[in-house]
Amino acid sequence: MRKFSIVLLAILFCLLLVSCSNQDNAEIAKEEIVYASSKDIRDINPHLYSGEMAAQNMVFESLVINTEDEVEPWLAESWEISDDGMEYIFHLREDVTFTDGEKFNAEAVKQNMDAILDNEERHAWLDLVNLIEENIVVDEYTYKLVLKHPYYPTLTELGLTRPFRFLSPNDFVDATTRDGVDGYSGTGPWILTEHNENQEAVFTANVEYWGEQPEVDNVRWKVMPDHQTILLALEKGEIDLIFGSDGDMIDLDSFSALEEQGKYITEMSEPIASRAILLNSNRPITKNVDVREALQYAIDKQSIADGVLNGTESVAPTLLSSTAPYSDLGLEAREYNPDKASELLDEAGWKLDDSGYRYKDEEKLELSLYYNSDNAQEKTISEYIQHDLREIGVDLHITGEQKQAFLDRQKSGEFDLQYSLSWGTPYDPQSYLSSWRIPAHGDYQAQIGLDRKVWLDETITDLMIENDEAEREAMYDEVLSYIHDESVYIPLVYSRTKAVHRPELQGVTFNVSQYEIPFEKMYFEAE
Amino acid sequence: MGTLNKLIQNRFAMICIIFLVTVVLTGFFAPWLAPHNPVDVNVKEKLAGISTTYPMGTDQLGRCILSRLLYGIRTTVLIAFITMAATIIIGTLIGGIAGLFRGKIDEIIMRICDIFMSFPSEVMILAIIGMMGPGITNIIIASIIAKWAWYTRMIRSIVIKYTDKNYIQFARVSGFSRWHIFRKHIMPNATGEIAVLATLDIGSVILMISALSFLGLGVQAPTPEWGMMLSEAKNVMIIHPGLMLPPGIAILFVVAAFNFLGDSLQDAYNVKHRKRWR
Repeated sequence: MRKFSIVLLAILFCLLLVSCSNQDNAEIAKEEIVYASSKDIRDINPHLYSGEMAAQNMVFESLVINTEDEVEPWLAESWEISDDGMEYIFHLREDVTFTDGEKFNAEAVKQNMDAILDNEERHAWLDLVNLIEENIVVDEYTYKLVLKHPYYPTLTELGLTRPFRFLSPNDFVDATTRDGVDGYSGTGPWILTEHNENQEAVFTANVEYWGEQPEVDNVRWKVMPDHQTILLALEKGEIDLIFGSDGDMIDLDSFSALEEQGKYITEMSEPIASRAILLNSNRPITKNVDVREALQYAIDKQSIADGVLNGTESVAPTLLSSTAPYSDLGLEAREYNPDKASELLDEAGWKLDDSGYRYKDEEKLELSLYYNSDNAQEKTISEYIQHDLREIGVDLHITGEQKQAFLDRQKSGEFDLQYSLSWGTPYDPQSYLSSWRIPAHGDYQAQIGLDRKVWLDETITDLMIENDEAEREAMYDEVLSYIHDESVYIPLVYSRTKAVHRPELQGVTFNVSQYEIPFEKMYFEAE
Repeated sequence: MGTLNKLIQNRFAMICIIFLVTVVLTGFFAPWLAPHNPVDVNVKEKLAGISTTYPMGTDQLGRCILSRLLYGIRTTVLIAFITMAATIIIGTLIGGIAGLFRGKIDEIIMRICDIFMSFPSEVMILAIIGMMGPGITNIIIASIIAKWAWYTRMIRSIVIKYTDKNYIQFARVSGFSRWHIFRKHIMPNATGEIAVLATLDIGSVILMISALSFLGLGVQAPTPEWGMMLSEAKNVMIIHPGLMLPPGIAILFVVAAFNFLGDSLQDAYNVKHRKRWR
């Protein structure tokens, strides 16, 4: 009897296993893109910063958009800028409605702008918010923005993924959005129809969309916190697309292996953002500019690019790529030169000891580097840097921390070395530089030890409102040269956004911003 | 002497002992045995397969896996021994006090133990690491804090078991001090049982250290450690699954050997146990 029941149990168990195997595999019609992300979309309120930007970008739109060459019309058909650069008049499209049926007009634009201005503090990193004098509804489809000073990146900033995007005023709570919203009705090509926190979200194509209709019906955003799970899901055919930047979704070893394997299509954007190491000028050892300069020469960037990153990213001679606006300054690149690094450290008084490390007045040359342990790439690069620095007698301690602890450390400035990733186009250089003035950023903390930090902040503030092109160029030159000479950053490589997808999926492209995913252009090839 | 004989007769226990001694010796002589420096990076050779230069291949930074595995013995086994030794010493001291003095002191100590034991040790360790930050010293401290209560309690009950024995009562009547009784009459008997406890648990300590390092909370780079090697191998699990095998198998064998040894020790010491099963 007992034997029989064991056999029965075994059979039942097998049946259970059979029913588990992916039954819905066959029924995935080619009308749904399944995308896996290591993060949930969270609260996609377009006027706040807690949501996933790619998701915010799917649902909400801006007046203008940034493209590779210039700012182009989007919800605004055209605009006029007054000669003094202080007034912007936007002529809005007349055929746009929010997905809840509300008309998109100048009134809605104003209400959204007011909601953003109501939370001015939160948006302080963006200069435009501080500079808005008033915003006026001229007539139903004409909207006027008046600034306190002329501000050259106005249009670029209006086109960012957040916060200048439009939510139906019906979703506002007490005429504002700062404390949450009632719904997510935007004007974009997608509607958020389903969201199970930390599991998945479903976006359905907006059939009333004013622009070109998305090619597929749905985008299913699955949350898989582990990179390897995402890869397994791709192999199993559960997902169609992996898309992300900076080791967030896929590490480069896996990426290269998939590339070689040839079963999937791998794509990479143009170099977008700068991966760099911040050197804290406000700490006992790195306070000395010679030490900071020595570290610049000590790291073999070429090997990081070719070896660790499999040649997928290019070496960064300067913090900002010379292709970024105002950044082609011909600054001297500091190439790998351990002898020169040793020489500089010797001069600074750090002498090599028998133990192979450097000492000065009995004090050991010890530095700490913190990285985000959720990131697939940072740990490997950190270990590589650790190895390079040991060669010249610097003892580098590296510590991986959970993302929140890592971000808190940036705010407190308790680090010698720290990762810094610029935000890439269209944020570089203006928004990136602008953020250097905010104490909550690691950049600010790393720079406070500089003699001319006050001057630096003032110049950045001034250059943003400088209306004369040549003058502005000169100021950028001054700021970027100063930062370069002071060696506050060790530029490593220029990162690229990466995508891996099944061969049936077509139209995978990259937006200018590394944080956006253009799902609306993707489609499945008919078989 | 009977217990030791029992142990020697038990073939399986001997195999475990020989294996563990070999492992510890290998760790001790790692600098002579390892073909490479375990922290030497060579990205040109990264993720290489098995070759004569790299008998077990290389990891994502081109470091020799065999060398890292050998040096990893030092980290893992050393931390486990330190943790165990510290926990046992604390447990013996506090448990001894509680068992000898009884009364109010015992009550207070036991209630504190209750508080500590009411949390799962994993939760407590994670909380302590969260507050103090990751690192070798901190995981040792955290696991001592998480484990001392259990040992205190076990050792107290061992001590109480002996205090009721006639010869102890006799010693007490003869006017010997408590300390003398503890040292001369209780400890020699209790040591065996405590050793069983420690061996039984050292496997779980190794597992815990590896688990914490796997999560990136324990040993920090570049120190080679099995849990961390496993975690690094996990990042390339799909393209190089073989990388997980060396550290995984090492952890499996060492932990299993400690557990089997603990079981055999228990058999050898525990009379009741022996009668029931043989």
